[in-house]
Order: sequence, then structure tokens, then C-alpha cells
Amino acid sequence: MKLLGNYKDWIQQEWIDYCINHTGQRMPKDYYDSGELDYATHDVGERLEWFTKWGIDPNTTFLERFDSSDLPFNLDFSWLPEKNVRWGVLKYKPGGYMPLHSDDVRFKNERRLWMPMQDYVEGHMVLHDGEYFKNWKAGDLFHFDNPDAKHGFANISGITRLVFTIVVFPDEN
Amino acid sequence: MEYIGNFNEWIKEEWLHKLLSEKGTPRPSGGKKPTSPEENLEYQKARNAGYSDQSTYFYMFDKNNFALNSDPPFVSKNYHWWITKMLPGNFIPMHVDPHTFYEKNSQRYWMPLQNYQPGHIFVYENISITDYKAGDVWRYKNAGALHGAINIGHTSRLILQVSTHE
Repeated sequence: MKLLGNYKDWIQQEWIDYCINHTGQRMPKDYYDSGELDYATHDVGERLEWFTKWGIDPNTTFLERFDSSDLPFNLDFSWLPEKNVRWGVLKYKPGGYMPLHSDDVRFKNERRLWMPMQDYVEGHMVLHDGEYFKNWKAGDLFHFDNPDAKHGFANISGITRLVFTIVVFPDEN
Repeated sequence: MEYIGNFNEWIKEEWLHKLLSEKGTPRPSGGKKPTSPEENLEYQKARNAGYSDQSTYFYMFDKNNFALNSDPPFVSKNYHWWITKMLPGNFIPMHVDPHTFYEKNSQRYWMPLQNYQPGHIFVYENISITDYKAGDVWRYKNAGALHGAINIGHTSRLILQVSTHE
């Protein structure tokens, strides 16, 4: 996982406040309830089957997700070099998590990026390729440069955690 | 965390079979309610963060539902123990152990019963312990330090917890 830079000034406090005070798409519960069992139908989601096969209840909520249609703001990602940007805000309430998994490559020459919206808090966890990351700053932009590397996230602190998950790809797909 | 040594030979294979095949006591939903002021404080902090006493976040074995049969070889004084079992998705929030604040000269030991598996996360004072072997034993440098654990892996996680006091 490679640190590309810091974009804290781009993050708006109103985005954080909105996500903290509203409920996003409950994952995997909402997809399970609607019969959409495959996260691959969503832009940057993961396959539910990856998690259910490990015994995790698909009727639970281990994180919430806000897409552009869930937010009353227009987020401008034009500072990223690629023309195509797929993004979501992932909200991990205390006890929330994303099981360890590796990503599908969906787009030619895609890059998968990750950006915390808050400074590191003890109990906000990122595990990537066996390495435990910590001490990041709000706005740090990381590149998951190995799509095969297993990674997962968790929040066992007392503070809700917000991160951007971003997939970018050039205009050649 | 101070590494004490490896005591894998003390672990009995039948323990693992029993621990993995039996459910254990769901915690905190099925456990005893907090009694001391220190316990009440930890529970209240968790409630304030949104955690629920009625939920099951992990499973526990202790002398009421499991028998070790012999004393852990790394302790020589008064001790009590419990085993935490975390299924994929289970966790225990960041917390301090209340009893370490009222037991005299409390010492805390941490012993995984299985080799490290990716996604089995334990954090103690901002440090994550990985790549351990079954039977490795660590002692907390500060028995009352903040710690927590979660299993975002694909296999159940078993840890023996031991606490000593005078």
C-alpha cells in the first residue's frame, strides 16, 4: 500500500457531519434484503459470497456505504488524473468491519485508492498484505498497488470511522 | 508486550476440538453483569460508543464450562483464566481489564492456542501482534493497558487469557 499524498484540504466537514448523522446503504443487509447477492453489480463493492462462505450472516450490517446518490453534495474528483472515478464513503460504526478479502479487477488499468476522512484512532484498523497500518492522517491517499493482496478493515474503537474507497481508470475501457 | 516463551506442548489437542465444536458463553449478552465500579465504567464507555450489552461479540470459556486440567506452566501464583473464541466477524472493543485495577499486583498474560492466521487482529497499546505460534506467551507490560481484538479472517480464533495477582 503506497501513500500518494495528502488531500485533507479537499475534505469538507459537512461531508463528515452528514455521513455521521445519516444512515447509508447497509452492507451486506440491504443487498441481501433486495436480492442483490452479488456486490459485483455495484461499482466498487465486493462479492457477498466472499463473506458468507466464511460464516458471516448476510443479514447483518458490518458497514454502511454512501454513493453519490446518497449524498446532497457534488464531490469533485477532478484532481485525480484518471477520467473515470467510482467512489463511495464507507462508514464503520463501532464494531463495524470489512472481512479480509482481495479485490476483483473490474476495469482495464484501474487503480484502487483509499483515503481516511479522519486522523488515525486506536481501534481503527487496516490490515493489508499481512501488515497492520496505523498513524495515518485525514486526507492521506493510499494506493492498493497489489490487487491480489488480502486486505480488511475494522473499527473496535468508540468513534465512527469514515473512509473514501475509490476506483479510478483511464478512458480506454 | 513482553515475550515469555512458547508452551505449545502444554496445549492439548482435545482442547482445540472442544473449543471449536462447542459454542461457549456468548459475551456480553450471556455473561455476568458488571459488579465493580471499574467494570461498570468499562461497560458504560462501551454503551456510550454504541455497543450493546445484549449483543454477542465473542464467546468465552472458563472454569464453568471448560477444564484446563493443569496449571499454565508460566504462572506460579494466584491466577484466573478464560478463553476467548472469536468466529469470523467477532470482536471485543478496545478496553481495559477492570480487575487489574483492584487486584494486587495484577499481571496479564496472552497465549494464542493456534498459529497466527491472517485477519486475527490483537492490538495492545497501539501495537498489533502477528506471526505468532500456538503456545507463545506474552505478558502485558502494563496490565491495565488499552487493548482489543477482532477476527476479520476466515477461521475461528482462540486465545487463552491468564491473569495473576498476589
